[in-house]
Amino acid sequence: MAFDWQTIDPEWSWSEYAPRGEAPWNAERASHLLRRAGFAAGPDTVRRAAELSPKEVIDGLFADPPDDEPFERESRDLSGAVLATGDAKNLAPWWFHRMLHSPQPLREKATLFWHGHFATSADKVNDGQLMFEQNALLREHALGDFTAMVQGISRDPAMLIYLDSATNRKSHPNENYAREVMELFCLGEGNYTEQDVRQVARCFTGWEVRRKKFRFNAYQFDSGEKTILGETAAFTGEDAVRRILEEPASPRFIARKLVRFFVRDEPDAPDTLLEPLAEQLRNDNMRVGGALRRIFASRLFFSAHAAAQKVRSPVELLVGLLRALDGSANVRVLADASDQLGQAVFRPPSVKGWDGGRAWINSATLLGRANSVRRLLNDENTRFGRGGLVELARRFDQSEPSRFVRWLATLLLAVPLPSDVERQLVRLAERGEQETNFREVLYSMATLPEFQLA
Amino acid sequence: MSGRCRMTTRREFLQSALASSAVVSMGGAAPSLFGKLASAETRGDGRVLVVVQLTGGNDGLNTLIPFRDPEYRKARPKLAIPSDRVLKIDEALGFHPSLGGVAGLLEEGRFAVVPAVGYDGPNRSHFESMDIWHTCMRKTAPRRDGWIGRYLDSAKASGSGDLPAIHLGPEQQPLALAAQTLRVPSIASIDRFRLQDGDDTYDRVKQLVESPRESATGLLDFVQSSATSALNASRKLEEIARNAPGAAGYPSTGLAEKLATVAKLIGAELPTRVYYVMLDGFDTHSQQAAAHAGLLDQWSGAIGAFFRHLSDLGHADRVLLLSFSEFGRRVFENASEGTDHGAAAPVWLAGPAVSAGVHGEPPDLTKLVEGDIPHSVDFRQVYATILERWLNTPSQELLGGTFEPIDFLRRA
Amino acid sequence: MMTRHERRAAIRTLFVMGIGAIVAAAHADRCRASGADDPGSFARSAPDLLPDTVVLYAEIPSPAALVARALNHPLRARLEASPDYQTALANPRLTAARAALTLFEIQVGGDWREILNAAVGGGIAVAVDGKTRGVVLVGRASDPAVLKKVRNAVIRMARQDAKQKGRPDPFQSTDYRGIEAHQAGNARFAVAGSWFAVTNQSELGKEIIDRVLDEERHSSSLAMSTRFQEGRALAGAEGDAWAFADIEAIRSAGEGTKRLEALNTQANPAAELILGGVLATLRKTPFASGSFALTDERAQLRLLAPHDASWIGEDREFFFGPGSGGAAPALIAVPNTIASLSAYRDISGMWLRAGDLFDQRTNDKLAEADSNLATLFSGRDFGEDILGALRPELQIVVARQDFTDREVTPAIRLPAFALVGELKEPETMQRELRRIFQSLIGFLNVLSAMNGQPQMDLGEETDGDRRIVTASFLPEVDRKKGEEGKIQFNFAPSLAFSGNRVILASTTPLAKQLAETLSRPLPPASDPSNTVIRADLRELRAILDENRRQLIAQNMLEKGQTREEAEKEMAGLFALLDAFQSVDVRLAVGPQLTLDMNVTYQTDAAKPSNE
Repeated sequence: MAFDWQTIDPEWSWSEYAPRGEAPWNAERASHLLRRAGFAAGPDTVRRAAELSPKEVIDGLFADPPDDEPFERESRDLSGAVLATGDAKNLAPWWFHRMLHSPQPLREKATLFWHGHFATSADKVNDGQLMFEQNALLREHALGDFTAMVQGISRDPAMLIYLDSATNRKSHPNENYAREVMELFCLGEGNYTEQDVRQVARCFTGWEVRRKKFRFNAYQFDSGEKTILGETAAFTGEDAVRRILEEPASPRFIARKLVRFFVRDEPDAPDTLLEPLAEQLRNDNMRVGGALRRIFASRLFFSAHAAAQKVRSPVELLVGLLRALDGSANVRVLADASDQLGQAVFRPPSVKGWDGGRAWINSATLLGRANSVRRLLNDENTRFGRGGLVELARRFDQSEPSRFVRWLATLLLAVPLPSDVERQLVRLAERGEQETNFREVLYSMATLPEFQLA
Repeated sequence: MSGRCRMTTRREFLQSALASSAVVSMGGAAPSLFGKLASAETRGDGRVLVVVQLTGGNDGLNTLIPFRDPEYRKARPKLAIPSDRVLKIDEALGFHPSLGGVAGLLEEGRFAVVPAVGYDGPNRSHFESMDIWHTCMRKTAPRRDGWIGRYLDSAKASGSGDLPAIHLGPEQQPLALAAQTLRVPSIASIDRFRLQDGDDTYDRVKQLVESPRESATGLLDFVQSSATSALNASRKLEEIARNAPGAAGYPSTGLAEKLATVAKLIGAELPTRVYYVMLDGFDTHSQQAAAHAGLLDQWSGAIGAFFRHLSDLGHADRVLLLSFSEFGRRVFENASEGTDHGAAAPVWLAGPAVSAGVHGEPPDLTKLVEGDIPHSVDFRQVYATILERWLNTPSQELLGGTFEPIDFLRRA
Repeated sequence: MMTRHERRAAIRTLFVMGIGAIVAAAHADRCRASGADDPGSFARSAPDLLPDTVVLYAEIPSPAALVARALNHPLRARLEASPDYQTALANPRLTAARAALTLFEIQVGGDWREILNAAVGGGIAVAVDGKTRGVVLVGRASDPAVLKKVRNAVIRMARQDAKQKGRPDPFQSTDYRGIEAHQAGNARFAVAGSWFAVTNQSELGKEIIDRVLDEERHSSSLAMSTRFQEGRALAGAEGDAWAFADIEAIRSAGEGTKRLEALNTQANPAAELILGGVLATLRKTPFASGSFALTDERAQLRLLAPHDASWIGEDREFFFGPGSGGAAPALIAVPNTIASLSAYRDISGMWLRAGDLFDQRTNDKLAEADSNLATLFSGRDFGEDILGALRPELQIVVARQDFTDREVTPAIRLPAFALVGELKEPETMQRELRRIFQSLIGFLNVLSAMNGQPQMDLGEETDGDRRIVTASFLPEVDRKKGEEGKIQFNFAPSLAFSGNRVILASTTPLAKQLAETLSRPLPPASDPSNTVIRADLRELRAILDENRRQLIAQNMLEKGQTREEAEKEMAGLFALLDAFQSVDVRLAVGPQLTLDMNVTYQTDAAKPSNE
């Protein structure tokens, strides 16, 4: 029977999940949360999460970890080294290093979400430093103030270069950014007119990029009155952003994208379902943390309407495979594999970002997914818990064939392993406790249709 | 739906899933690799467009040569090809001597050329002009998709399904393939279609993928059937690579390798409508003669072998090949024995469906515009012809206007 | 198939066993083989036991001496003192290997060093036979009784292991002329008196046993082959190991021809430039031989093959020069030189002969490159005008840069490098080249401007009567003080002239330095050589050390290492580099083609110093 949002009660959806008999808080649900609000988590983390309450785990996801300074210092060092090469292509491996090792996986996941939302490609910007700075801006506001993020993006050199908006003169207002800020960033199609585009474009006149820095050129600014979305004033660019975000369509637009990214690929949620989230965003002055927290704590999120209802993106597939098993790897291989599978971070295919969902899957990418996992597992730099997969399984007392298969399934899959498949995998694991063999089991599991879902 | 389907065999299931073209939301139907082009009888289905882009600005004047024209020799004191070396088409025009393969196709009635194609207000920047050819839009308009991408978007409803188009090559994907609702894969080589590590892996993965599932949700069902068709396609491609004839006749060049792969993919009956490959290096500002001859040799040799291969595979009738460059070069050679960025240039078409020969007047070198050959045909007329008469798709919306077709395709 | 992990483990095990073998052999001299156990009536050597259809042969005639030197080598103390070496020894896989070794000792009885010493003390040789396509390892024990015990222990241990794992007996035994031969998988081995052989071809094994048992020397033995004897003589007797390749036989075998044909450079101009002449010689020469010697100061490898100038076609005259008489100029050295190369090469000749040397595809690419280069060189033909202006020689100098007085220090520090050539007509060409250089920089500036990259500032300096055209990157205007620069700031392309020489350097200081050095007469080249290379590994170490931070970051990203792991690996690399001082390579041509390669160690007597 096909899924229909109309049958889902919005109030039920966003009310808080409380563990019950038919919906217990266990390793599977903890895995689900850590997979969606991050990139999956290793056996220790999942076990600890299952022992806490859902609320405590979610609090932990949003809290600034007390011990992230060493990681941040490390990451800064690495970014310095990577930017010194002058090649923007090296930034992708650096970000994969963050996604793989950050103590704040939710922030990284949200940054990836916003990167798809405010899509900008290094192919065009052609400057690693500018892409890096935009990435930092997205990360800073990833769980916070959406208004501040849009204001920042409006003067972000990488974005303006990407949208051919590095100059914007009074006599010829450049409409590119004005259009995107409404259509793709804040409101969605149908919630503004072409007249609004032209008027908003006037607000951004004089906003320029000079020598890779944002500059306001007062001589080129059109200080006259503009009418935006029915309201007339001598708006500036900042005013225009503020005005756009006051539209009721704006929180709905953001809520819809959040639900699509964090809860369920398809179909898009209807307004009625989104209203509670939109209201929360409005009440929070467009700070996204509260709405996100509500999503992760919701009944809908922990229900069958959400579990395995997303196709893993290439990044989620690769980073998820490793993070679920405390893995580390050559991040260049990861970035390259993700690129081949259709998700080159820092190089989204168009201003619309990645489509996601079923668009990730075709014959080429499915075979590519299997081959990428193969390449990753054959790479001697791919390690689990800084060692072999056998060692890791033994450390958790899970190396006996049938336990090993079930253990992997809990950590990796969002749906139960079909019994027939499980039997085949156990037979494979029974060939012996060699690293090659265990990795072969892992490979086989990663090629299952189930693993392509999150 | 799962209960009943599990009782049927995998193949029956796939066929039934294909028959019901109901699942088209969000990126479309389950990949239909083994749809066997079920409805191929209906005109337009199963037809393939292969685009060979000549990047850098091909010197059209030294490719399709007005060898009797004294103006040609005047403009090209060093670079003009001697009349006796030109491969003559008629008493006015001939091919560059490197174009033996293409001349052979013309003799067989499978090659056509439109001599002077371009657009108003020609732009001499490689990137800008290429973007114009790709999107049919000038810089002032928002360019989110390309003409082929728009075609794919519009054709989706009619079930092109999995891999609607493939860009084969390591380059950045051409903007022409950018679409709004689907994503065209760029594939560096045919190896991407093979499950690495042998038969053991293949059989195991296949068995695991095809094991019955107790409850397959919409997405899981979609991934499972996609995986099944992917595995079948990879097996079929391997068989083609092993058994299919013809692949041996290619010269050992990069373009030939790509086209050999395209032929195999066509032979494997992928449902792909458009294949896109590129040949770079045509920006011949100096010492042009040898470089240009080498590039043309690559181009012509590869295309000739490609159609021989397709004929051997029995699929040539389904294929139309289009070859273009972002602009031609200036009529007058420069002081470095090269040529600089120009305007209009020939567009080339190959395949059994073409009406062979030259479609249009050769450029009049006494009537140049700012030293350039002006266009007599708008490139969108070429696109319109292909869309309307080869792909059976109304072109007006896709091209942003009505453009009169050219008669370079035989009427069926 | 082994995974990389298993391969690595296997390599480590082999490494341990290798060290063991070396240690054991050190004692070999004490009990040299007497030969008393040999059947037959004449003293045999390994080539006496092998058929003359052997095409590749390598021998360590006296492992004991070599191993003794290796064991007492100053490097060993250095290596053992390294913390990374200690870490490697603590590896659990090594512990497992050691346990296996102990078991082996118990089985054979005695210390494994002594066991190995007794088993291979009489010398070892490896050969590849052209007829049977077999590979064989032949060795001679100094104590045949121990050899038998080793054989028995190996068989026993493998059988026990198979039994434990429920696998069938891995060995099959047969008898040939009273000698027991064993087979496990592809490997066949047999012990006959003090000799033992391991091979993958039973026919080859039988031939060897025949030659051990027969009274008479076989006339079809390798030892009797003329080419082998000539090769032996050419290799000389001083080495610790020597090798022979019967090129003519390889050539005349169908498959061998294919292999030699596969060694072509038709699609690779760079390889042609480096190796073209050597490959041409290998197509004609009857054989090649080589020798290896180890002393406390250096390791020397020498490869030799008969050569005749008439073997080289006109198309490859660019390589050895007319009549193979081209000689490389003397090596140039400036302070902090990492590597210096000097060679006779008529590059213009090669460029113009490209049609004969390369396949169609490569020629198409070269034509394209020619077109692009001509654009770059403002319309001058690259092959004729630019390369053709130079005498047929090629000199490259790579040196470490001094960044102390730079306005901008790049975050990644690259070495400076320079090409040095000699002009045929200095008067006319100097001005011409200066002009081309200036327009080249202008062209690059236009390209950089289009890509938003930093621009270069053209300048001219005079140094005495020498004029140097310079180009340097301008620091970015809003640059913060002390901020490290982009990778571009490693470069300040410069063109200098000194006498007839033209110097194209990646930095101005190197251009000046070279112009100055070349204004003084160079010491004459010691021996006429075709190619000479000298690399100073201490300088290489120094530049890697300057980039240590970058290298660690790279390891963390590419190997998924933690900082500690990356730092440890770097320390290991540096410990290894510390052991070496320099590498010298020399290719010379006369009646023979000679390739010499010397690796000089960093002994304690020669600590790193900054000359």
